[in-house]
Amino acid sequence: MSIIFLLFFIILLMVSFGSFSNRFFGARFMSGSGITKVFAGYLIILLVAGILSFMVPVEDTLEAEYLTDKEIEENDRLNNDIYSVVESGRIEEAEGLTKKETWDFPLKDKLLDIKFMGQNVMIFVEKVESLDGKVDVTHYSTYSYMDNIDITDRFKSPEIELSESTLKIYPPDHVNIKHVKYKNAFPFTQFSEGGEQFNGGYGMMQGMEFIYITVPADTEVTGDGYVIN
Amino acid sequence: MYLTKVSLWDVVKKQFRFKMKSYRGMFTSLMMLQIIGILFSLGGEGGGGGGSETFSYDMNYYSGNIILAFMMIWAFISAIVVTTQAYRFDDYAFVANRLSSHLSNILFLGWASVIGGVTFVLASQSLKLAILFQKDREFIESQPITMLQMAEGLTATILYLFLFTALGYLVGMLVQRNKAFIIILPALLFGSLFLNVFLASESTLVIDIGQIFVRETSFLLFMLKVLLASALAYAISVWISNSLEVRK
Repeated sequence: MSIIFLLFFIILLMVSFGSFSNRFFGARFMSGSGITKVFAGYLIILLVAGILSFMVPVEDTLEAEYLTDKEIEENDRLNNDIYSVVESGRIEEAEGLTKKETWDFPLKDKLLDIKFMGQNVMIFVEKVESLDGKVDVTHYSTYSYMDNIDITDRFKSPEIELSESTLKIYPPDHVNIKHVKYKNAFPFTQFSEGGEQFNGGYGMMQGMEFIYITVPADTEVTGDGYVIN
Repeated sequence: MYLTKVSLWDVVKKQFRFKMKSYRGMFTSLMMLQIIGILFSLGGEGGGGGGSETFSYDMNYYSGNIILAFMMIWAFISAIVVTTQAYRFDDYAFVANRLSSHLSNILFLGWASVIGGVTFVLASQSLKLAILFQKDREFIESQPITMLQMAEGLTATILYLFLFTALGYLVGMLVQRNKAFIIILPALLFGSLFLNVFLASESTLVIDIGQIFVRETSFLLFMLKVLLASALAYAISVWISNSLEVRK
């Protein structure tokens, strides 16, 4: 298949240069005033397409900020440290966490059963003296990015509901990102500072998701969830 | 004693005007190669994908680099074609000398590089337009480009093309000087690649030469390098052609 493609390519090349050097064909192919018209037509098409490309509204553009290499390194460092910080109950001190959503539910019994219907989310439970008769649930996540673009906001929070004394956590919908990227040709990026920074690309990094639950100190916690104190 | 005194510059201008008209075929090949380049670029330059249980992603990259590569081939081969006998003999229609013939060729190739550069920018914008119409995908332009970058990029493209015309002109003249170069030059190129692989287990010579230009981040230095290299290549071509016999 690729050989056929190559042959096709060679023939096209021969035709395009053959039309220029009259050695391949006896008479000059497409020369004279005919070619001037064809080339002028081509130029007009290119011009129109070029102008249109600036005018066509770009829908569904991934609106996001580009991170520099330094910011990415910093985020990587924060992402690495965060698990131990959260595990030791110092979530307020943790850097690089995004607070996504909070819920609070009234708790009648002294019992909380946590049921998580998915994976990939870490659930921590902290018993707090000052809390009385309610459960606070907070969803945090660390930075996610693909191709140096921050996509943390793309990940939605799970659905959470409390029925009786069971806290049910439903995983969020599957996130699917399809994108095309248009890179400027290399002479256009050669002279700009850090011009190649987006060409390297860091691939993808999916952040960690934390559900942090605080319950009154005398509550008995069962099910999915790691009690940190 | 002549009735009219013709300056070198007048002859060059006349020949240049003549060449702009008679070498129109060069722009046919430009057009065709650009269309081929756009078609090739539509396949994308690369991409990737992956995911986890809660997340999947898929990306495709596009750029005008493939079109530019085709344009460089075009500049190189076109300059070679200009040095062939049929084209050189066209100049005997004028009261001219070799120098004026070379100067007008260089002017013409410079002009062709400008046309090539401008159409390249437009062609890569057309490619972008084609990508914009891809549905159900989010579009990212890698960097918003400023006017200064645009101007620098366009000039750099033209300079790259001019460099390739200079190389092509030199190669063409070498071949005109002695047909043996048809075999020697490719042999040297590929031989150096293989030798490098045998000696240093990777081929770097051609890449290293390219890096002189590609890795340059200062625009002014880049311009200087390209102009110097082109001037050198053209000067050698002129020098070589002086030892050619008339009508050979």
